[in-house]
Amino acid sequence: MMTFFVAALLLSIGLYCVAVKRDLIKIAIGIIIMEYAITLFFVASAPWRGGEDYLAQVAALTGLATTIVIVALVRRLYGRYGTLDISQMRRLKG
Amino acid sequence: MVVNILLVIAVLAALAAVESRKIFNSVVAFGIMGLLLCVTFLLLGSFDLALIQLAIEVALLLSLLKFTQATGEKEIQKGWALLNYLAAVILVVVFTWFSFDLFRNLPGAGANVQRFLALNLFNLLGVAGVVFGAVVGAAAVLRPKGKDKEAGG
Repeated sequence: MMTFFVAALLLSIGLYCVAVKRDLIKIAIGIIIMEYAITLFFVASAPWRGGEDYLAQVAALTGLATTIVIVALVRRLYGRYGTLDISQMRRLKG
Repeated sequence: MVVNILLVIAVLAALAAVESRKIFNSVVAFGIMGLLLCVTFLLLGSFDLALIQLAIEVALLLSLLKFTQATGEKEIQKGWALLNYLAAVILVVVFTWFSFDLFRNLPGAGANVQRFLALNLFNLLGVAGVVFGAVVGAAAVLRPKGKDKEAGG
């Protein structure tokens, strides 16, 4: 039960980070923390699904793919705007 | 019990990653959280997932640290070097100890590799496909010449 609580806590921390912080790296970290929380939830709930953790593996793989693309996007945005502060990125259109 | 302690430390590391003022400290705390979750997955019995998590975490940590260094942030404060080294050594020792203990207790490790490969071939193919797609996506995002230059920004 502690694992479920920690998963919910990590999801809340990640959501807070994405909603409040203005630094691109911190926002990326918040998204990845949420991915980890969901993976942890699937791992913790595996005994209730017959002991298989395929869902957790799928969640981790999806997290891997999104993490790679998110880090690439952060690097691209920093290279284009020269800052990590999202409030100064005012030319994001379309 | 050990899982609970690791999870509490992981939550504290996540809080430190979110609330730290310096990006470097934030990235390091995030790495600690990811590695602790990796050990937690091992303790909970998800060995494949722990390996995936370890690969993600190491690659992500190295990438973010290099990127943080490229942004020019002065990360090391004077006077904290000994504590930093001590923390790093403690983390490495704890992580190695847990990993060695768990891998030693794996049932039949190394004996059924061919059977494992035969049973999980499509699984491995799917994993390779996902990783390949993600890398192609990242390469498309990071390509040096984009269409935005032709469109005038």
